[in-house]
Amino acid sequence: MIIDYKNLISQYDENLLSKLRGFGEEEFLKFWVPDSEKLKSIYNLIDALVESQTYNAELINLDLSQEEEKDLQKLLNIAINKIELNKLIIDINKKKYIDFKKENKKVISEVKKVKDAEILSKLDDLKYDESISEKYNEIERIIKKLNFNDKKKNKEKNEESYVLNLSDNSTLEYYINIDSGVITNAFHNSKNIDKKSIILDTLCDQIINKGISEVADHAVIYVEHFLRSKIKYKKEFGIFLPRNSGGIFNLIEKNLRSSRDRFYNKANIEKKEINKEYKDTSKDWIKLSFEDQKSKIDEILEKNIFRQFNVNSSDIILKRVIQGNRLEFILSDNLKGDFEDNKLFKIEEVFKEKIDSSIELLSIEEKDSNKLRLSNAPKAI
Amino acid sequence: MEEHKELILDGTKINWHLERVQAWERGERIAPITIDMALTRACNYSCHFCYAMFQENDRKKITKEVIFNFLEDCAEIGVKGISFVSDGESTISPVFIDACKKGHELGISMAVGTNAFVLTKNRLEELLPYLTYLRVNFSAGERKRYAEIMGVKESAFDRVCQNIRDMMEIKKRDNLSVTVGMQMVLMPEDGDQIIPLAKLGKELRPDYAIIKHCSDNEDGGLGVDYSAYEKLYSRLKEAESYSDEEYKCVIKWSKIKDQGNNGRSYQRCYGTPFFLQMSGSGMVAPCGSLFNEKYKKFHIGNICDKRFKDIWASDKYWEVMNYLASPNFNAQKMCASLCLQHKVNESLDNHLKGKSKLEKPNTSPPDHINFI
Repeated sequence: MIIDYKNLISQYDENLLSKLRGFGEEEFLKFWVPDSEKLKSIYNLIDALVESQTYNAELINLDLSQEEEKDLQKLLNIAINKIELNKLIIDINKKKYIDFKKENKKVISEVKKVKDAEILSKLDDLKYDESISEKYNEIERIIKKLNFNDKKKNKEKNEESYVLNLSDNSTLEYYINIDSGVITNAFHNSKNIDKKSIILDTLCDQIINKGISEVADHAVIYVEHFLRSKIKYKKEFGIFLPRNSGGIFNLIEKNLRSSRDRFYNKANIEKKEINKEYKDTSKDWIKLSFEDQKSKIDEILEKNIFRQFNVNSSDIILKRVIQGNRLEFILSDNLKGDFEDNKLFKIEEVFKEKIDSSIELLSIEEKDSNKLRLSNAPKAI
Repeated sequence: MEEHKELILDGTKINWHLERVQAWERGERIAPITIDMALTRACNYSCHFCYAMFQENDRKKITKEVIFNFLEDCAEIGVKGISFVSDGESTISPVFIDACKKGHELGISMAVGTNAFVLTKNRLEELLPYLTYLRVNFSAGERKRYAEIMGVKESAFDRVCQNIRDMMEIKKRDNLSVTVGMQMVLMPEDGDQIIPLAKLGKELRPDYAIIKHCSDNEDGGLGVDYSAYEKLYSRLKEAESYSDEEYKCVIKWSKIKDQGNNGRSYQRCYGTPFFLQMSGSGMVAPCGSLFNEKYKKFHIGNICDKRFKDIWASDKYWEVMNYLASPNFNAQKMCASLCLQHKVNESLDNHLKGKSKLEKPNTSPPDHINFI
């Protein structure tokens, strides 16, 4: 058997990127894995020949250095009959080879000693106060109007009232429908526009027409996310959580959860084990035909995206709308490249604002190129 | 539920890393505790349940220089465990053994999930001392069904069985600490292989055999009927009974009994900053669900083009992580079922919702603590 080593390596590298193994007819190739170093690859090849019980072969096109040739000499009369700079004659004596491997077993390298950090036993307790992170300081400059102050309405018979009181006599009140668990009304009594009143106002906007379970689980996340979208926050931040945005978020969250628990303790409706409430896509958008949706999307691209993101009509082409809210685009390499400013998120944000907050931006799915896997898959891809 | 006393095979170890959780809560840019990755997208098998068929993305070659840079960066920023388990068979990469050795030398816990076909005795002699665990994907207990389910010739069954015997022989001979396991990815229609697999494990005697669910994508592309697992509960219970003092047959009940995405209790994904996944193409994405080109907006960079520590420190990395933790993302609708980060996500979400505060357990630290 003649093995062209250079060709073998080149094909192996190519196949790792483009397709499966299983190249060539020889059984021994199934057991062979090359190494990043040539010498080791050759030793691995000899191992693979032994595994497949092939004891004779000629290895050509090797282009060995003198050091490599010298190293291989230790296998003379064990697994190698003859060594030349461009050729090896393999002739394996199985017993001698196994003995050789045992005697030349490698010594394991020392492990770098890394001092184990002490394992922390508990996390810090949450702060329940009215502090607000300084990153929201600019909110007062940006938001000039409150929409939910002094909007108190009379409670209906099938509504229950819940209250959050803060230290400066600020009060937020919300009504829960006892039949559905949905918050039907929310308002507060703040007169001045400051960080606290803006948070309360935003909270009112976020909780109306939502179930109390959803509100207890997620309302402060929505409030924090909305406020953060209005400000230039410090870029070195990791994950934004309401709890690292100020004690007031913890206070609000505690109140909402307490209200939820009190509500379900006396309500006639059953609390769902898992809250799955999430924003639905607007019916006005879903009922449009694809042509009308595409027309709207093209208009947004023209007015709000091409110039602003320095792209053009060949960079982003709508292919289809999936399940009403997933916009699948054909994207050019210009847009798919690794941009520090993450244009695709920003473009998605534009569509969320202009069409519906449930909109997602996707690109075209890449099909599996592993041909054997496709044929075995239970479903067509 | 029978479970190995020292190994947590069905749950999360996030409670043992509260210093990292605390930093995350403070808004710091934390390094992942664990990274799952592959050294290639290629594979020499063709398993019919393989999630990798949904994960195609542009392939690049992970060279020795690339992986060494990556491992050094991981050690520098504080990654604790790296497992070669992702969308390809890492053992067929030319840099596999070197990578395990280098990671070990840097003080990172190293592990691999593999079909073990090319892990012949000579390679195992080189490899096992560097690993915390080695898990063999073995999704049938009978030769013919193995070939059908895993898309290979029947002779591969014999080869891998021998490789497992060799693993245990080397482990015992050299008194190595590596844990050797077999893992069955169970599709409900392959329930006939549960008992044969449990019996085979008892014969081959790895440290454990585990039977887990099959993950599916958000569109149900693999057609996994999660309700069909219920019919297999008695057989799975019987499989556990094959355990003995040295061999544990474990069922991943929490995921088998889950209802796929129907049972997902959380909407926000918090787990990926702690438990990152990378493709065998070198691409850094938060998790395996998002590897496909379809999810381009979540693709952060490629270690073949840019140093990992720079990718991790970038604003783009944290924008993506924040997106997953934001109201823009709903794991109940947009994710693969029962993903790798699922247990971590559940724990963190329950902690943030005040349902179950994270605390260090009052027990000794479990094995494999760096694989959360």
